[in-house]
Amino acid sequence: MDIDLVFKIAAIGIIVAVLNQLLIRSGREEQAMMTTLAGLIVVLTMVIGQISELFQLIKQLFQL
Amino acid sequence: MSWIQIVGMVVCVVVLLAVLRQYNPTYAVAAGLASCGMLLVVTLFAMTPLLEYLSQLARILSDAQLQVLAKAAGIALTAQLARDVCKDAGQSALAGQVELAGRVLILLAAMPLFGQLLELVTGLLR
Amino acid sequence: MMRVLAAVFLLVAVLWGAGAPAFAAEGTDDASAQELTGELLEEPLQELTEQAPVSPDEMLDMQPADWLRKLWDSFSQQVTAPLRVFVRLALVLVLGSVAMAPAGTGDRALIPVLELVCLLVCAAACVQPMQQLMEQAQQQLFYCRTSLVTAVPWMASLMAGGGRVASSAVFSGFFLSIVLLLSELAAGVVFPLMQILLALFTAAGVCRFPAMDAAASFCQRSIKWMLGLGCTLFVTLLGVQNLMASASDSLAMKTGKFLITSSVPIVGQAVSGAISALAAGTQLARGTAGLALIAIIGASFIPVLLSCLAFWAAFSAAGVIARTVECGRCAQLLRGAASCASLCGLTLLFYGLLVLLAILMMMLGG
Repeated sequence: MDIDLVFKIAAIGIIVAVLNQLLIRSGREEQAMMTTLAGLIVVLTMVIGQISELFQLIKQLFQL
Repeated sequence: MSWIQIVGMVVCVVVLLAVLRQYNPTYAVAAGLASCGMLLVVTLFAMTPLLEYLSQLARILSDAQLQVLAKAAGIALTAQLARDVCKDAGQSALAGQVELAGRVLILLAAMPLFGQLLELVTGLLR
Repeated sequence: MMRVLAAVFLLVAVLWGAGAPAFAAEGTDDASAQELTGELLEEPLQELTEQAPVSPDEMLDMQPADWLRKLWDSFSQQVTAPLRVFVRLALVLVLGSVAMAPAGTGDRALIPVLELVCLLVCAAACVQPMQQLMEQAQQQLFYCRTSLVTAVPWMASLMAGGGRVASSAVFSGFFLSIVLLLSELAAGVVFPLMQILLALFTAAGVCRFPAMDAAASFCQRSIKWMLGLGCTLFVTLLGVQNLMASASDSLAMKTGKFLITSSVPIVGQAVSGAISALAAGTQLARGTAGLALIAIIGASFIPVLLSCLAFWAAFSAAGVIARTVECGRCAQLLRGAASCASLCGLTLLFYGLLVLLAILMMMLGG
């Protein structure tokens, strides 16, 4: 796990926010919503992958 | 990772999260979770030699009771993480429920210890 | 109230002791029968001598450096078990503190539960060794009693053969019955009370009822009071055979003070008085047969006493660690276990010193 993950999430978040604003201003609201959702799914898969690694480590260390 | 690196990383992440919260609060939660998890991993890696040494000592003393203590520590750690992430996201009800679940699970893990202690004490009083 | 109780005890003991000399008088009738019984009874004393770690004459000739070396050997034998208990307790406390550290921030809501788990493990690690220690102490008491029951009639017959008929009758009857009474008191009352005390301390730590704490401290106080009462009783009764004038006078004075104040610090001074009387008397009695008995019985007490001391040290040190780690309930439990170990040691010490002193006084008297 690295700090790059956090930067990636932040970058994706800001890009998605900007795209959202652009698409809403140009009137395509459904596409704005879909971009938001797509970005969220990408971020969640990244985070969940790393969090499951964390929980494996805890399980192994504390013999849960 | 050295201590200075860790502190610098945390400060950067805090600023980043403050910025994210303005534009996209959802991603701020996800980024917060990821950064907490990462810091925890760093701490656990740093603690690994100590835990290995302690578990070696525990094996020398041949003790199942210390395992219960280790289990309780693990449950407490993860319950704390979940609770704080929930609170940061504004869900304090969920945070309370996670904490309750953690406490109950710790007590459940300590049940065999209660049984052992009760046996010992009744043996004393006989 | 306490003076009335002490007076009642005194009366009962004197009546009981006065009834017993009848059985000793039978052995002093016939001279030849006496010699025979003397030889027959010598065997038990031979067995006792063989079991002793060092012969009585050697013991008197040893220099202080030899004493220290013998003590150190005995101590290092006894110290492995308490050391293991201490290491286990320290490990549990350190692990507990590591577990409680992340839960210390925020609301600190998970800390009571973690403290409880830590406490349970500590309690399980304390109770078992303490039970073994108390069994060891009771066995030591039993051994002392059986060796006295075997050896005292023999010594009484020796004394009667040497012409001191009255004092031999008193020795075998009165003294033996007093010793038996005291050992019954210790085995039947003090040791079970100590087991109850340990159980109360454990329960008080786990449950956190204030009533349990009060019950545990009351139990502790009553054990100390009973120890003091036994000491008083014995010394007052032996004061009837006033031999070591100065020593026993000071002892009688201190026990008188005890009856007035009924607090336990007096007991420590009584112990030092008893020890100095014992040392003075031992030098005077060099070469007599009774010295063998004293040396054997005294030497047999030492390993158990050292074991008690080692356990007290282990539990106290673990209590200090618990306080550093900020686990207050664990520290309380460990302090309770340490006080149990010290009470066990004190009981044995008193019993041993009083028995040895009584044998000495009987031997040197007229």
